[in-house]
Order: sequence, then C-alpha cells, then structure tokens
Amino acid sequence: MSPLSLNNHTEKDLISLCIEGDNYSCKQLFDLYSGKMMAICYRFARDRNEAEDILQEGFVRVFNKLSLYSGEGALEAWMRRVIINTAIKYKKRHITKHSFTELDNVHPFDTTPSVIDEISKNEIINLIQELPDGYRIVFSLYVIEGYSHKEIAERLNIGESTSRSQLVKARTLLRNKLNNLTKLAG
Amino acid sequence: MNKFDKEIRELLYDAEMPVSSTLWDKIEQRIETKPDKPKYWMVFLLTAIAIPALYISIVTVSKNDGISTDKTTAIHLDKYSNTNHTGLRNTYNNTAFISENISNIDDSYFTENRSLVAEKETEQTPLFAHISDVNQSVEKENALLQNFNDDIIYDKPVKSVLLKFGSINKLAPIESLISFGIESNMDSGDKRPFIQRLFSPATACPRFSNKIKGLYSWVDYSSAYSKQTLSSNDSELDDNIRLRDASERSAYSFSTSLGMGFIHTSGWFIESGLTYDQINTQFHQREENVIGTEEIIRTSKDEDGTITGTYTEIIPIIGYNEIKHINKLTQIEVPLLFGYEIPIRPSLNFSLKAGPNFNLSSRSSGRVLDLDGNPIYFGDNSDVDLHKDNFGIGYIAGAHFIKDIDNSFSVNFGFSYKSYGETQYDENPISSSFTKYGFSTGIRYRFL
Repeated sequence: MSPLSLNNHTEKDLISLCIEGDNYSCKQLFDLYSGKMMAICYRFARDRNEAEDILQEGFVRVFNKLSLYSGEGALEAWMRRVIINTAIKYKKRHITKHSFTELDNVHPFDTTPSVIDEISKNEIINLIQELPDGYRIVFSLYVIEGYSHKEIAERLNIGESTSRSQLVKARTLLRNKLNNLTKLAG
Repeated sequence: MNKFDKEIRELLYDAEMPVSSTLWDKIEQRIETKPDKPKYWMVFLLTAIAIPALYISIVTVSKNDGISTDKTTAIHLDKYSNTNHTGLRNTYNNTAFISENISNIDDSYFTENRSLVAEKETEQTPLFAHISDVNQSVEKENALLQNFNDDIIYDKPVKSVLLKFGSINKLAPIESLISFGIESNMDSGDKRPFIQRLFSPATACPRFSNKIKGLYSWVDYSSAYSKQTLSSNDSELDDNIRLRDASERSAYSFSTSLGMGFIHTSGWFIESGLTYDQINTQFHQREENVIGTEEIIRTSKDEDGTITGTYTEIIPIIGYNEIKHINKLTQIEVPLLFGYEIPIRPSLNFSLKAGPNFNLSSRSSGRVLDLDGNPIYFGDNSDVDLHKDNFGIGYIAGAHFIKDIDNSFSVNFGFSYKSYGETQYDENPISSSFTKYGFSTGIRYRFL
C-alpha cells in the first residue's frame, strides 16, 4: 500500500508509533481498516455480534503482533491474514465437525452469473450469510480470499475433498437463492 | 475459479461494514505493551568480550613489575642487613597481622640467608619485592617458622595480601613464602596456587613441556538432552508453536565427533574436527478419536415454507488418544574449540574449552500442532524433510576431566553445552533454535 497521509503520518509512521504503544495511532489504523475487516469477520460469523467479537479478537492480535509485521507487502494483506486466522480459530472453538456435513438434496438451478448485476452488494452479503456455517466459510475462503483447497483443508482440519464438495454445494445453494431473489424482484 | 466466483469476489473483496462505536474502547483495553524478547546473541557477545577482557586485564597486571600501595616503599632485600625491619613493618602498615609476624623475624636469618631488605620510604615509589635466589634448606625454613607466632596462619594472609595488591609479578617470592608455610598437596610439577596457574600462561608448566606438547587426535561421543525453540515471523503460527511447546519434552540426543588438536606447553590448546549431531525433541499430541456417532436429520425451508433440502448432521462422539511425536534435526558441524588445560594430578587434567560451531548442513523433520492440536509439518506439507544448506554458526563449550592412560592415550569425560541461534529454512515460516546440554566422553591419542 502506498503511504497514507493520516494527520501528517504515513502508514509506516503509524505502525512505528503503534509498536511504541501510541494508542492514538492504533485508533487511526483501526479506523482505517476496521470496515473491511468487519466485512471479513461477518462472512465467518452467524451475526453481527459474533462478527464484532471476532473483529475485537482479531485487532487485539494485530496490535499485539504488529512488531512482527516485516513491512514487506501491504499492511492490509497482513492484517487480513491475521483476521482470517483469528476468525478460523474462533469458529473452531464454536463449531464441530457436523458443520461440514453433506447437504443431501440441493437441486441445481441453471443460474446465469448476470443475475449478480441485478442484486445489491448487501443482498449478496445477506444471502451468503444464510448459508450453513461450513459452506459459508469454505466459500469465503476459496472465492473471496483466494485460498486453495489444500490450504482450506489444512486450516479447517478437513479433507480436501470435503472442501471441494462444500464449495460446490455452497455455490449451488447461493445460485438458487440468487435466482429466487431475482424471481421475487421480477 | 469460474465467472460466478470472480464476480462475487470483485463485489465482496473490498466490501466494508460499519463497526460499533464502542468496539475500539474494548480493543484499547486489551492491547498489551509487550517487552522485547531477550537478545540472546547479546549475552553471547558480552560473554565473548568479557572473558578475554578479564584474562587480558589479569595478565596485564601480572606483567607490571610493581605493586602499588597507597603508601609506597621500595624494599630491596639485599640491603636488609644494613637496617632493621621496622621499615618493612611500616610498609605493610595496613596489614597489621603481617607486620606482627614480620617483626618477630630474627634479623640473623635474613643476614645469613642473603634475604636482605632495605627500605627507603618515599611517596609514589613502586614497591619491588624481589626475593631471588631463595634456596633455603628445609632446616632453615623450619627454624624460621619457629619465629612466627602462628606459622600456619601465616601462609594464608601473605598470599591474600599479595593477591589483594593485585600483582603476582614474579613467582619466586610467592613460591618461597609458600615454602615457609604449607606445602602444596598438588604434586603436578607446579606448586603454584590454582588461580596463579590458571592466569600465568607465560610460565611453562613442567607437565606440559615434558609430556603433552604437540598434536593429538580425538574422538568424542556426547549424549545429551536438548530443548528446541521454534519461532515464526508469521504471528499466526505463534499459537501453533505455543501449543506444541506446551507439550514438548526433551528426548535423547547424541553427537559423535572426531578431529585433531594442538596443545601448547602453556596449556592452551586448539581443536577442530567434524561432528554428526542428532537432536531429538518429542511432543505429545492429544488426538481426537471418534468413539461413536449420533445422526440428526433436519430440513431447511425458504421464506414460503417450501422445503429446499434436508441436512443429515452426523455428530461424532469424541474421545482422545495421546500420541508421542519425535522431531528430529540432524546436522553436520565443524567445531573450532579453544581451551586451557589445568593439571590436577600427575595423570589427571581439567580442561575448559569453548568456541564457534560451524553448521554445514542440517535436515529437520519437524512438526507443530495446529489449533486443534493435530500435528502439521512446518514448511511444505508434502516435503517432510527440510534441508538447509546455508551456513550457520552456533556455540559450543565444555568442561572435562582428562585422565591419562599412558603417554599417548587418555580418556576424557565431562559436561558439554551447545547452542544454535535461529535457523531459518528457505521458504519456511518457522525458524528453529536449540540448546543442548549433557555428558560427553572421548579418547585422545597424542602424537609424541
């Protein structure tokens, strides 16, 4: 990320100040990134309260580990990884393996991608939110965060094949929901 | 990733959501000010500087031909007969005990034995205490001793006074004074006190000059317990490492070495060779074990109440197994050791040695625990062995007793310590460091 100008401080300055224990600088970094990080947390959580719990946990870890940020690569990418790992850790404490069981009867619909154009960002976020935990997490990690199935399997302690099948079914279920929504809107 | 995925990603990757205004206050309360990790390399650096500095300072003081006192007096023993000994008493006016003893010496002993003292009290003049060519007979020494109030105590204060003055410039006076008192029970050819022998390398020790100067070969085996410490630049792996560390135990480790050494007549020696080192650590995994299942069938409905599907939830009933895992690190090293041998008995020496340990190659099969407590390999999951080719330096030290079998062979046994700083493997987020301590034993063969 290019240096930001925040009250005459670049992002690099803010990081240094945060490491030195300047809470005001920490607050500035929090204000800068909390919105994006909240959206990530929300994709892992059941509701807003849970998402804020994860975000709180995540930012505490970000600030306590900020000295380990090497400066190579964007801070946002590093922060994102910390938040995602915090979310995974959080969810592992709260869900069991049955979250990754198979959905028996998901009827595939032939949905064209163009349907996305007709739906707002918030509506899609809400639709994703309606997916079962396991589907939603695998879908978010693979589609939005760009993790491979191997990485997902390793992080979630599930098989790669489970990750693949969860993704396929999450995708199908989401398309169904999108289709239903456009039909209702139409 | 298909087109549908890409569109979702483009839409949501940078999505933002509002955050509760009170959240920052909660976070602020939980931010720690974490102290820096201790800089272990600084400890090593300081030690490396402090030991030679201590040695140099002592040797430098030893080479100074003067003993400085706050009230300095030149004493020339060869002029003692021309004066009385009150000057000498005054010289040690801070050491009443010595003064008393010296005042009891009959002047005739000094006259007869050319132990002559002349004194001229002058401010800021160095004190010289040359008692050269002292070869009194045992009878004369005994006779002299009778003139002391307490001849047993005498020996100790004199030594302590000389050490207190900080100058052991010539060995002769100390030897002669000791010969007045208690005979050294260390029959190693050098009767000097241990501390003097340790810090007086310029004086050849008869043992070394007669017997063990020169080249030798050595073979060592060390059995040890080790502690491996993992760390990561990726803060997210800290939890995994902590989880593993919490269950880590020492495991038996060993190393075998062979090499050559050279010992100087002063007792200093240098060694080098080749070492194969295997460091094992073990940790325990508490593995979940499914001991039964429970099935729950659920239906999902849309807003109209239409069933869209059924879920079959299989809930496992979990038990635990505890599994022991061994992390193995093997290394090829070249130690370069500098040391000093101190004779204790005619056939027994004590040696201290330390130096850098050059790590040529290391191979590690290591694992940490994931957040569920399952072992995962650090590094590429498909590559169990991590092979490091880059050069590394550690530290090695030892304290050993060396027992001569004959003029050529000797055996040694003692304590050894080894450590490596952080070793970063290529493209591996986890770096490792270790300390290893244990007993070692070996054989030396001297080329006489």
